[in-house]
Amino acid sequence: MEATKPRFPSLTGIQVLGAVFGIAGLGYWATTVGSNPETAWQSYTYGFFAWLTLSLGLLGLTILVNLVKAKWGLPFVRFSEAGVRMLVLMLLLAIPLVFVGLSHVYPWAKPGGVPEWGQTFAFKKAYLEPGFFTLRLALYFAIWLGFGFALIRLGKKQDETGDPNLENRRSSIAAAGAVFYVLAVTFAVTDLIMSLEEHWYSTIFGLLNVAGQALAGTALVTVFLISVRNNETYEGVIPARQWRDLGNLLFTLVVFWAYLAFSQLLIIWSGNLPEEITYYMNRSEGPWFYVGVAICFLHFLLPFLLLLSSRVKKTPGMLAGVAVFILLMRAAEVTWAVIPSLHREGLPFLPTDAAAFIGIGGIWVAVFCQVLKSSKLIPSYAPVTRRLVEHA
Amino acid sequence: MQTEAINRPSEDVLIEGDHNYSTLTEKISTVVTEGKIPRNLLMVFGFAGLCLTVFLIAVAYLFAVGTGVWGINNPTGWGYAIINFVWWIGIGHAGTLISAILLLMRQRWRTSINRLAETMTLFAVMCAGLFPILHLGRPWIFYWLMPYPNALAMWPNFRSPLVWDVFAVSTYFTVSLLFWYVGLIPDLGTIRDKVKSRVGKVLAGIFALGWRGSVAHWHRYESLYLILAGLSTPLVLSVHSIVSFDFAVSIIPGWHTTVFPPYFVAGAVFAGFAMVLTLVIPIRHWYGMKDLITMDHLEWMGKIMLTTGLVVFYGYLIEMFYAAFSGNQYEIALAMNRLTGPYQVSYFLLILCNGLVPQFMWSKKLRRNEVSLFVVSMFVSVGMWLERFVIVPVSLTRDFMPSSWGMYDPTIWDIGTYVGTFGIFLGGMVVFMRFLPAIPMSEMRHLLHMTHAEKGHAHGGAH
Repeated sequence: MEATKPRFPSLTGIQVLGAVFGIAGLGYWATTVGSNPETAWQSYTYGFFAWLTLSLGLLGLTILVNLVKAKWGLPFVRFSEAGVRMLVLMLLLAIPLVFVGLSHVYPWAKPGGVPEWGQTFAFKKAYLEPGFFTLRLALYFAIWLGFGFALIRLGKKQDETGDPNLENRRSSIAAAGAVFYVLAVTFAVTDLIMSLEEHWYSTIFGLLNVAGQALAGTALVTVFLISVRNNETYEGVIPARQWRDLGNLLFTLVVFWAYLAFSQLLIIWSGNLPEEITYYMNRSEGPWFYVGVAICFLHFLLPFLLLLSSRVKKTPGMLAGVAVFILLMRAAEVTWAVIPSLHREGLPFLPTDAAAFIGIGGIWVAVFCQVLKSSKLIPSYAPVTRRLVEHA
Repeated sequence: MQTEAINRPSEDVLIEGDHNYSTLTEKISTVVTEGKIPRNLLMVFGFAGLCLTVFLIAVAYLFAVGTGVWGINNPTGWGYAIINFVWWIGIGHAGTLISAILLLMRQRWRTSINRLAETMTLFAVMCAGLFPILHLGRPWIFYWLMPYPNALAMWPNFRSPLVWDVFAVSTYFTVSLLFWYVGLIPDLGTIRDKVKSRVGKVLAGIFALGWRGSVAHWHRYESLYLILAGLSTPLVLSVHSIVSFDFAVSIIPGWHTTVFPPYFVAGAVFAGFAMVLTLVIPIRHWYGMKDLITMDHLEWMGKIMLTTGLVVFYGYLIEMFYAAFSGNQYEIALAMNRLTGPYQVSYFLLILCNGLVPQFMWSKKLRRNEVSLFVVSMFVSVGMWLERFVIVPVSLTRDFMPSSWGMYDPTIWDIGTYVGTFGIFLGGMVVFMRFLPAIPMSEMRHLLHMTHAEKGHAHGGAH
């Protein structure tokens, strides 16, 4: 047993780098809050959401792995669970947004609300009431953290007791967790992102975000697992098919995300209704048009073509490259989804946006590394090759 | 602990009893070669014949008089024909999912039910395809739907999702047929060698394409099968997405909603698994195939039904929520129309059948009980039909202008055509089960090999 204790190289370097970027980014961001609170809090919302989706993606992956009792998930399940713990950080980061930033960011939270919302908007007005908004956000976090930590706890228990029945228990919890996770994400992105627009709505938006998050989470897991595969901790734990399985999962999610995104575009484009089409009109002006085109080709087409090849999926180096690229494109897509909804004049992307993204991200990375350092990275019940067992 | 974890064989019992390769083959092939049809199945065939008669009468009258014999009117230009088209084509999706996606996902429980499900797909798509053609009014010029060079300056409007349907459905049918046929080839070889009748020998011989089971044959067969699975997989998503575009690209409230494509696909798989269960549960009894279509197969189907049912239920919830959230007066009016309008009963029944009843599948006990599975699958089949009813006439009867509102009442000819397609479906299934192996023999032998190998390995590992 002692031999499977984590031996983990060079996380400290990344952690320090994350902390430095985090402090620098948030430091710069803090200097702008006084002079221009509106822009600053908008940037904060963007940075917050970007890292929230990544944490939620890891939660989604944790739920999936437990639900289907996936053997291919065992080498990385502790890593994705670390992402679940990051939701505690996101909860802390949500507090200033809710209590200070809200009225600077959301049109409905501004004094006087949205003037053109008439009688038929009674539900929307009541729903988007700041107090109710806060209550719901708390509920979403309670759901995510509740299910996430229940799975973590039972995994740990199985580590200690070796009771294989706990696998079934986790699977049952994950089944309920999946239902509530999807519901909570749907309403959370409606509250956090869709409500930035005064009129726009899209019923596929929740699923689109679930797919995008899962893609980001899977890509991060892939990059991580490939970069530590030669580490002693992981020796004999990673099955031969691991890279192909992860590659296929990435492929499926890339296609599924593109399918949902295309469905939304096609339906809104052909309906051409004023309250819906403005979403895409805003995103086909200025540089956002080129970002949108780039997303079509680089978020979908390029990874799609690369992941079709079994050589790419079998070669860890290549697969890691594709996964890093997908993570970059996820960041681009989140930016494209959030920033144009802020309806700002002038420059589309501001230094404070970058500062908030990098600042929150830096803190996220630093804390994440700390969580990883203090976790046992391989479940003791993971299948290990004979050689290692004998060695132990 | 750890060695056990490595060697733990697949938990599902997919072949019960003490079978070896020859008993497996014998058991499945004698159904075809001996040709004994269970009495109950003959009764199904009789019922199918009755339905088919109704169909022929209904269609003959339709051809003689025109689509006016149906309940369609202004403003409800789409009625039973579209509902039934969507319902039948949805049912087909389970077959494709089982045969293609589960193969790629290396799910073993697909074997043994895959052939029945694939066959079901073929007949369901045939039934579905009839409705738009009958709805054309002049079905004998159906080929105008295809873009072909002609002197009439006829060219389909490629912006219309109805044209996309033509391509989606015909592609789907072609690929499903090929997949089904390729899977049959090794079994046709077995039938050719075993069947006594001269005609059967010649026919099986022709369609077995000279199958001899050589390594080269298997090699090509496996690659082709995998390629066809890859080709079929996007079709599971695309066909019903395009069907959903028939509605969603318009601006009719209740139709124009972005969640439609994934929600339709989930609904299709939901209805499809319900139909597979409806067929498989009696068949495994009548043919004594309980050792080959085991409780674990049924439980898996129950799980898939629960999962896809939850997606569908999510769709209903989301539609209602965003109608209120949108602040759009037409969306709100439609939501209220569903809840309180003249067709409210169908909406509440829909929620009961598709939303509430499938929740029983959370219980493992009920998932492993044939009666409860059968009852739930019946509710789902009804519910999925109601879903399309709620989408089609409920939106159309009350459009933007109250002065043009109306009601939709199906006529006996609508019902006759719908009931009639069951004749095609059930009759086709019975004929298939009589003349072709309903459970893939070669794949079952392979599965047996795999399970034996695993058991042996586990045994060895214990030492």
